[in-house]
Amino acid sequence: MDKHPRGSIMEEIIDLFQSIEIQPIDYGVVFDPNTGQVLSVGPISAFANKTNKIPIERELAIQILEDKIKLTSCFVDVHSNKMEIAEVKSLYKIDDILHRVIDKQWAVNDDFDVEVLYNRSQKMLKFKLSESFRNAGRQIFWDGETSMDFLITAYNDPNIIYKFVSFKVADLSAADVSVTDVDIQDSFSVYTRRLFKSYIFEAV
Amino acid sequence: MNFGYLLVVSTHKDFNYLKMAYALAMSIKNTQKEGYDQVALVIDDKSGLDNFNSPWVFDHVIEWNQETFWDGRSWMDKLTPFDHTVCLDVDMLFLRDYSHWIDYFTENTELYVANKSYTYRDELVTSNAYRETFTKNKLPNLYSFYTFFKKDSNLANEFFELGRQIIKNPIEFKNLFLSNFRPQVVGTDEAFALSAKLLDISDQISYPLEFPRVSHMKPMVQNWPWPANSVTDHVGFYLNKRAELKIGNYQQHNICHYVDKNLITDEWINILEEVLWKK
Repeated sequence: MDKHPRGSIMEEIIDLFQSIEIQPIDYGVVFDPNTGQVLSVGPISAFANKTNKIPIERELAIQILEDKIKLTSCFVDVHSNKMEIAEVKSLYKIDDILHRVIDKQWAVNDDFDVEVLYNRSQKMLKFKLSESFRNAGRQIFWDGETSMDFLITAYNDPNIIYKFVSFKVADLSAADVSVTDVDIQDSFSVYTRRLFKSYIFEAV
Repeated sequence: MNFGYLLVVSTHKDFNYLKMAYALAMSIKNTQKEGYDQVALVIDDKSGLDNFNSPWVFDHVIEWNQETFWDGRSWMDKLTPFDHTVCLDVDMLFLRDYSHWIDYFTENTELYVANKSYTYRDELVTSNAYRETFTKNKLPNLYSFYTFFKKDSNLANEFFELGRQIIKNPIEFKNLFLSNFRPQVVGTDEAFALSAKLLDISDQISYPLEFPRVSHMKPMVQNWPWPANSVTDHVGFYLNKRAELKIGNYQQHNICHYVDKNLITDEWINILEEVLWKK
């Protein structure tokens, strides 16, 4: 016996619904290229004619759209093209506040702005500014009175501090800065507040 | 007892999953007791192993390319060379001896899927972030990052078979069973949770235990009073020469599911290798 026509239609409708694929929505934000301030959030396809936009995670977009995160707290780091959320307009990552000066043997590239050298036999730490600042006329953004702080710590553990070194940007731009009587037998690491983009460390 | 850990990786254009697997395998060898430190690697192209100093940390290497990326993990029951297996996500590190968990699982269950995770401060994760598919569709809160199973168990076979069907037919299963909140992608977590729900075995395979303890480093579940995109933006990961890990000022003892796919540097690999070679 044939199926009732209505049943057949229902089955087709159910099949149709089951075959419909809901396309995932990719979200994005539009931002002011000068300040990084996020101006708008939504499906990135809606921003086709906007120049300054980046994709963001769906969960984050939904939280902004639901006003769980204030749009005014959202900024795009124009250098890394990543969105940050800030309660204040200063954006800090842990790597900016407590930046590990990478050992030369593990550095991905050789370009650096500040070099930290440790001479084990002389028990001396020397801080050097790269030639691009010293002699090639590259401008230092920071005021000369800004302090440069370095923590000499246990290997890869800034929780265990051996020594604290601080001097001014102007000191380093004038000449190498040497710190004597640094007697550390074990491996150690150097952490700093990141003023310059790249630092490198070498023990000799 | 023939027990081992199973790691499933495949080539990815952005991330080096094999390097993560190598770090995890070394951390297993460095911390687990003999007999509990076997590691099998499933990989689509094993030529990448030539880049490592100690590829022998993988006791078994199984070349298999039938699925890509995480879909391969749903085949864990078919791929394992062990009688008893824990299949792990590869973006993890072992930080102390967890062998006694294995003793419990082998004696008491044929299949167990982790159902809790912890913050780096060892607080239980209760946040709904990333888990709306689970809560809104009333799925058991399963995490496939630590899945124990016994080979040739009927319970495990049914569970994994249905999981594979779900991953192979995501649209149908989303429309039928996940309609309250459709995930963008039906990953292994969603597939396992739905499989457990449909088979009505959630209580058998994910009952409450105090282990496995896995610190899950997804940023929005860290109980921070601010939203975050990446854990590593807010807190440092510090691996010392003994391959002991601190996150911020918290010494880590749980399995660390670090999530950030760029965390394992050549320096960290070197640290893990030196500990391995001195063992």
